[in-house]
Amino acid sequence: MIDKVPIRQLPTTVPGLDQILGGGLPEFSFNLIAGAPGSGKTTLAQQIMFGLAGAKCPAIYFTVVGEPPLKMLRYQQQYRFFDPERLDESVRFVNLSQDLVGGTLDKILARIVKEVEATSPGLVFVDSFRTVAQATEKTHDGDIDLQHFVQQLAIRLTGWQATTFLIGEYQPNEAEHDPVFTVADGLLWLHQSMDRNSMVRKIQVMKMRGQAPVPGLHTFRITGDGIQIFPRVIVGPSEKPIRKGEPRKRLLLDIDELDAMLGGGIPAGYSVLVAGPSGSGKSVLATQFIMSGVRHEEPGILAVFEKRPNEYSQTPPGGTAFGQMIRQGKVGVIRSRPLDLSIDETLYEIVEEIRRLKARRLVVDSLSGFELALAPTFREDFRESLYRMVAVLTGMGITMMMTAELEDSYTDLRFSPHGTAFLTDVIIMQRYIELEGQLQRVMSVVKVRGSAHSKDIRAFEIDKGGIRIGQALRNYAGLLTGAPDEMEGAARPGSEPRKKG
Amino acid sequence: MTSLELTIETVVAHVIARRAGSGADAAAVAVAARRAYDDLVVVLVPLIGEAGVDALVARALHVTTREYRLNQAEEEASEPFGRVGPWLERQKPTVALAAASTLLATFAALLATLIGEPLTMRYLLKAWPGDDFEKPPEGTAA
Repeated sequence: MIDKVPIRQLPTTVPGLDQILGGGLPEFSFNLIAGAPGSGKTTLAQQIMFGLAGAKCPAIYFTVVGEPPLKMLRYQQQYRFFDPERLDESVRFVNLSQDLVGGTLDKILARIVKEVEATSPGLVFVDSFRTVAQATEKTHDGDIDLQHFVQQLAIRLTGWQATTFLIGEYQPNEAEHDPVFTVADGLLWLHQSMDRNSMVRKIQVMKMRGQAPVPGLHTFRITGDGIQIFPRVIVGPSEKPIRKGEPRKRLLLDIDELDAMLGGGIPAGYSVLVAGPSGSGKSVLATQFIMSGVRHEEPGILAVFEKRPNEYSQTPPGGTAFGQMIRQGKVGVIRSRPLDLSIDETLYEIVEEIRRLKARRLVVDSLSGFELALAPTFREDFRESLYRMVAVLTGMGITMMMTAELEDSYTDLRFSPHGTAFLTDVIIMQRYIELEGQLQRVMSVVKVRGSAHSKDIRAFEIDKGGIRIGQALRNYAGLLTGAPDEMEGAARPGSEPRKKG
Repeated sequence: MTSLELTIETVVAHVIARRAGSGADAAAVAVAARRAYDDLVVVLVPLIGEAGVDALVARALHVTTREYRLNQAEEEASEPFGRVGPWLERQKPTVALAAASTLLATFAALLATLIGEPLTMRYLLKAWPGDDFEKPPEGTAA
């Protein structure tokens, strides 16, 4: 005997929506899509309608005054989901404007019920329901009538086995007083906000009876395909947990000396921060990390937020070989869309690319560029968002390398302007020092979590083949001051350094 | 001719000519135009609302009557399409047929500029089912 009624979840076909709804749209639910004008309510409603409607599940879309139907049809046709062939087949528009003018709520209810009973639609939309509510405020006693109307509508449409959406322009502070918010089983709220010159759209599932939606605000974008939601990523258990005591696989950079400095390569699933000043060789190292991955059948993705992607194929160490790897699909490239990104949108693109390429390695070049590419509103919680991104990607078993540009400071030791060093498992530091009147590059492995590693500071050069690690500068004091002093028996990368004293 | 190859003008001209019948006089053309319009209104009102239909027919009249002049009483008629009937009845049958076709075709073309030709054609064919658009309509009285 089944002691609970099963609630079937309808797949909406709106990318990301089912996920934030908690699995799909509950069948026969009575829902409200609310938000300010221009926030995407009608687009979302019609995308759901065209996605779900079919011969077995026809839809009726009631238009009330709100947006004139002529204009709505004109603009909604621009979306690829709008299929004119299905009008009056599985999708039917019914205009209620005349019923509203001078009519009573009973008359409107009767008209809706009549249409529903005539065609038994599986989906019913009323756009804009707010117009109905406002008309009653002018001609009736207010909430009692409206409350009765909403309850009757919910009962009649649910009784007729319809999944219903009311669409309305509401402000968040109205939710407490309007009876429709109490009666609705599901409440989707669409927001749009301007911060400096960037507009960000967000959606929130404020309630969805019978299931657990993903809490919080989720960013979405409207394109020619309609709405795409980027669900806010919540860090869950690792997809590839490592058992205690089990050694991690190591990923090689194919720079023998650096692999040795790291204790035998980078442990798989670790996040690596490469910090250094401009021109120190961070992108070169990151490119070598991706190229060595291709050699070891560990495909990689380059998320570019600073340079243009073709710059990576025009400079060492990859040159044309790196460009060829991209063209052959062995390396994925994600380009930034500056100034209006959200972390979740970026993460979505990265995860899609990881799945497509079965990637094992990822480079984010650079964190500073990434922060700049985000909409200003998301920069405020960059550190928290980055934490989520690193946790999700490393939880998938991805080994990720992030570059961070630092202005050389010879009075303190910092690894990231974002306070993100603690998020990472491995830190590789690059710096300039002055030796014999020349700027020399040096590199050091600052930490490898849970692993022995070299403490040396080693000079390195960059040539056509990439990074060449030189000797450990063990007999110098004050290397991190930028102007070291030679101690006795110093190994020199070049000619005589200046002597102490 | 398939529906994909049909144009708004040919569909409208065909419908009015066929409904008016062979050798129709101007009064028959006026009745045919009125019925064709009413059928169209029935399918369009649920889609674009009564206000949308009224706005389009008013615009179509404005555009068409630059060519076909109405008298003052007709200009002042309250119902937009009501202005046309008496005027059509006073014309020669060929003029009445051409004017009625132009008016309805203008109305449909206006709709097409707003919601697209495929959707407009879909609703024309829905409003006027059973018309054999492959068969040329017979002529009206001279």
